[in-house]
Amino acid sequence: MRDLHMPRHDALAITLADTPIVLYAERAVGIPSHGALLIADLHLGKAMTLRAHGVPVPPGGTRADLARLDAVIARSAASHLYVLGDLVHSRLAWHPRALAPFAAWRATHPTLAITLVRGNHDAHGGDPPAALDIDVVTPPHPLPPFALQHEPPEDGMAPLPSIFGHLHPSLAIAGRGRQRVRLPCFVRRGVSLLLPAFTAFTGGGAWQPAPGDDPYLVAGDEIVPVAPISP
Amino acid sequence: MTTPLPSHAPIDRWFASRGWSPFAFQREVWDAYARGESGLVHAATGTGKTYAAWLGPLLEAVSRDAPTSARGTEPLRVLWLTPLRALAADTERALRDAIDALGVPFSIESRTGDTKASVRARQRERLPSALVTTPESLSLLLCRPDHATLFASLRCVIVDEWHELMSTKRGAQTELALARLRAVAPDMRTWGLSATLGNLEEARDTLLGRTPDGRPRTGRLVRGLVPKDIVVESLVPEEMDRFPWAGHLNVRLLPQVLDRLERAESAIVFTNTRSQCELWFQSIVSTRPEWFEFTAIHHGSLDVKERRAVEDGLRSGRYRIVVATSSLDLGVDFSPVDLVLQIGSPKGVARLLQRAGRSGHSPGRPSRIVCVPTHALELVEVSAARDAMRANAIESREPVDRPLDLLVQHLVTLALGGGFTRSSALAELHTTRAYAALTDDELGWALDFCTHGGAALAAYPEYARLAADESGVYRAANPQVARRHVLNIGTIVSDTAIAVRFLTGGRLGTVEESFVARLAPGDVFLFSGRALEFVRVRDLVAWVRKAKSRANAIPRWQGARMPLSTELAAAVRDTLDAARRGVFDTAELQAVRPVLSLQAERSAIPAPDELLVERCETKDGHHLFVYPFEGRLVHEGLSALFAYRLAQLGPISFTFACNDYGFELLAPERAPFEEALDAGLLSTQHLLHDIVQSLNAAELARRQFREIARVAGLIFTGYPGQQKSMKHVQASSGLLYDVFTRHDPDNLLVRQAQREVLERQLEASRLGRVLARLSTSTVRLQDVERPTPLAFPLLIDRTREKISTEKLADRVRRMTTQLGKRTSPARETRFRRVP
Repeated sequence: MRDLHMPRHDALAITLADTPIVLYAERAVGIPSHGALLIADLHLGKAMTLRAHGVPVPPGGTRADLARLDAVIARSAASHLYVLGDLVHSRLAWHPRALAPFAAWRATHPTLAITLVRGNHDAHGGDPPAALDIDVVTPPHPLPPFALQHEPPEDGMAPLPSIFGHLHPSLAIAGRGRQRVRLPCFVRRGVSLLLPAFTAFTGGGAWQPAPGDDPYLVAGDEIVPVAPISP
Repeated sequence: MTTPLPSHAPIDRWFASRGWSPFAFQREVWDAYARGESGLVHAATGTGKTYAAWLGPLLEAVSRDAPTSARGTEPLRVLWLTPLRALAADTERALRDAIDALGVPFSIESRTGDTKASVRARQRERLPSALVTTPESLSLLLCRPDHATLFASLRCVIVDEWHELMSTKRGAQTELALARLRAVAPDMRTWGLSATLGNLEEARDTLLGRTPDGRPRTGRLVRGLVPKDIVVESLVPEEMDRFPWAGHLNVRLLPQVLDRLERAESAIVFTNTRSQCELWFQSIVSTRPEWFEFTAIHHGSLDVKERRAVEDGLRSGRYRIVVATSSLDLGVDFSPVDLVLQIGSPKGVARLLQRAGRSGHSPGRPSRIVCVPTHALELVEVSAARDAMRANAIESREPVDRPLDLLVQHLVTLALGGGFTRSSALAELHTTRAYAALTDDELGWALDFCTHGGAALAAYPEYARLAADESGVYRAANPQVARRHVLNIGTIVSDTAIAVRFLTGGRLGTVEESFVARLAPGDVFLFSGRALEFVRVRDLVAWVRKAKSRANAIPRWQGARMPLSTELAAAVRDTLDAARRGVFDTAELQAVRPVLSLQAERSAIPAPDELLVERCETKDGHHLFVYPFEGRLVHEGLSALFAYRLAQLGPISFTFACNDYGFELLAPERAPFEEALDAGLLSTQHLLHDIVQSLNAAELARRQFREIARVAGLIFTGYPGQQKSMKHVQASSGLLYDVFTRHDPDNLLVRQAQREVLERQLEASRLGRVLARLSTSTVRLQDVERPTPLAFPLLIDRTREKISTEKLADRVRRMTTQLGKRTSPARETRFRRVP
């Protein structure tokens, strides 16, 4: 009785700046030509930081985030993980007790190269310990044809292809029966791409839909494209 | 008692000089106080309750010897608790009059959120003989390590407007504070002042608490003046066919209101919400600019200076007309006015009596209240309210039962106030009615939660608010705890308040952040009775200037909608039944007759043993309208239950809205209503299970968690002036609720959220009984072409809950295909336009 014959995607291949890329429902994007997987805003240690300020957040969120990361690394077969900023929430992430699960996770991916493109939280949180074997670079970091960075490119710059995070984009859509849902999303803007926050432990962010923005919703374990924002 | 009772002579002389004489109930309270008794006095506002409670302690002071302090005034003797800080100044003045008249060596001051820093600093050294304060400010004083010394000389606590506090967490907070005070000043007496309630004995027992061995403390119940006759009338629209069927923001009856105001010497126009208050004030003064001089506006979000100026003006006669919300319902003392207007339905019998009581206090003259309906069905409500009033069906208020969020907060208060042991805390908590049934396990959980965040966090020492020393005394774990706690104390949850200020500096009051977020520079909105142009917002201040153009928005505040009381809901059912049988015996029913006839024509007016269900399709989707007429609170639970049970028959997504008459379920496809009836839609079987499931599915508990998280100190709004830097340690209550349910499902605060929603449904509103009634009713299913007068208010209601049994991605995909290219970000209604 209802029209559900649209294709289902747990990953969606699109072309960005003439480059084939793959959007994964785990909130990551793959660039097969580079063997690369990109995520943004993991915010390790956020629960710990809140606890230290008197908010009793139970543990388990980081484990769930890392399990999702395992899944998408496995199915993308990527050899290089790029974190586009805000790997950590604050410097408490490098506290031994918070570090332990992440270090254990790192040990299970010995051959995976990891590059962190510094974000605003990393600037305060400090770089990862050398033992984690994470390359830290300052944005923008080239991954041709893209510039990888944490924050969106400044207005007025030439429209160079870039991939970034920071804004934790989410979009509310409405349908018949006064239905309304707000979901995290990828946003394609011209030749650039905005990633959703990888961590599930975050609320809506600062992204303001602009005309021409092309959102791809993350609906549970599927990616659902929607029409571009109209002017 | 062997001591003779103090003579009333000083009061008699003072009263005589004013041409008054004491009422018998006042003498009764003064003598009872002198004998060491506690109790509760109930009567309408403005009938001498204040002096009944206040003059007892003053008589005691004048009959004692010389004052005990070098300053010539007595040490702290009386605490006067008021629910609204706006009342403090006013109360202080009334109490001071008596001090001066009787020549009592008492000093008196207020201490509330509005009190100046210099006064607070002085009070840190020494409290006055009588202190007027709020439950929150009292809790703050109890955080001081020296509070036992501070309050040792206390003889009496008087709780004003106890009926307002009792059924809320603020009431439980008051109970906790009273328990603490009784521990440091064991001879302290407690007197409560209350409006008349359906359960006065329970109100008294809740206030007085229990003795250490668990018996209810004895106390007196004193009935004040018997209410005068009350006349309830309505302004009736002349053209009923053009009168709206829904909505509370219209001023159709303005001409008639102006006409009444014209003929009155003095008048109060009571409104039900602050938005309504702004709208009516603006409508009155813009139509009659010459009235601007003597017309004022009063509501709880206005700056305290503005409010005080209005209260003063009301007393001095400078203002003839005041447009107000419930901010003037409570204790603010002023001479009765000629005319009380009630905009919209009073929603409850007690409120109707309270507001009517503000008029015509001259002997032998009845109180009169004129109701001004804002939509057609409110005429039915007014007619029903009059019947309920005559039948004396006054609402009860239920005290709250051991809220653990407040307990967590109070344990921190106790820790800061000198520390406590587990057994001393439990014993003291058991002397309150709210925590009389608290188990040692529950206290243990709360302590665990304060010390290391509960079982799930046992291994995470970075979270700690309290720590116990070797002798088992709990104290604050670090100095940060105290700083945070004092900023967070209290149980009132509201959206972040944004101060509204003129660029030139003047303060106007506060609006909610969510409203400001929708304003663009240059937008003009109505606030404090002025049209203001929004300039910018910075650091929690919305800067404005006087607007040159007309306002096109009115701020809205949360918690604005008052539900119909259960008593009034029952009266509405009876009234509608009379109308169904053709009895239209009041002016209101005569007026609303065409609308009810249209209802009968398009669908039906249900008989008492019928459940009316209307079904229709519009461009929005398929609607089911269900009318149990049980009041909004019941309908909240019932709508979730219906949606849940219907959705069990196959994947479907509902949004639903409810009001005082019924609820609407809306789905993109037709819901299998007949099948659901056969499958037990109205069955009381598995009721508890289905209710719990439906409340969870509708995320009602998630919403309830907002308040709990705030009270238990999980949401921290930050230190003043530091909001930006605190952002990385904040998480929304919704996010926290999700994390808790996923990773710590046994957390008692999460359970409390579920319990609070459940109890609100099951006890306060007796969902089970309603369902039992409905299950024996005949379901009258009407397929209607167009929405009926009963359906219309639900149809336009934008506040919606949801339940879905579809896979999220399927649901999203359907939403995107149905709308095709039109799918776009859900557009928020920018703000409500002034009609």
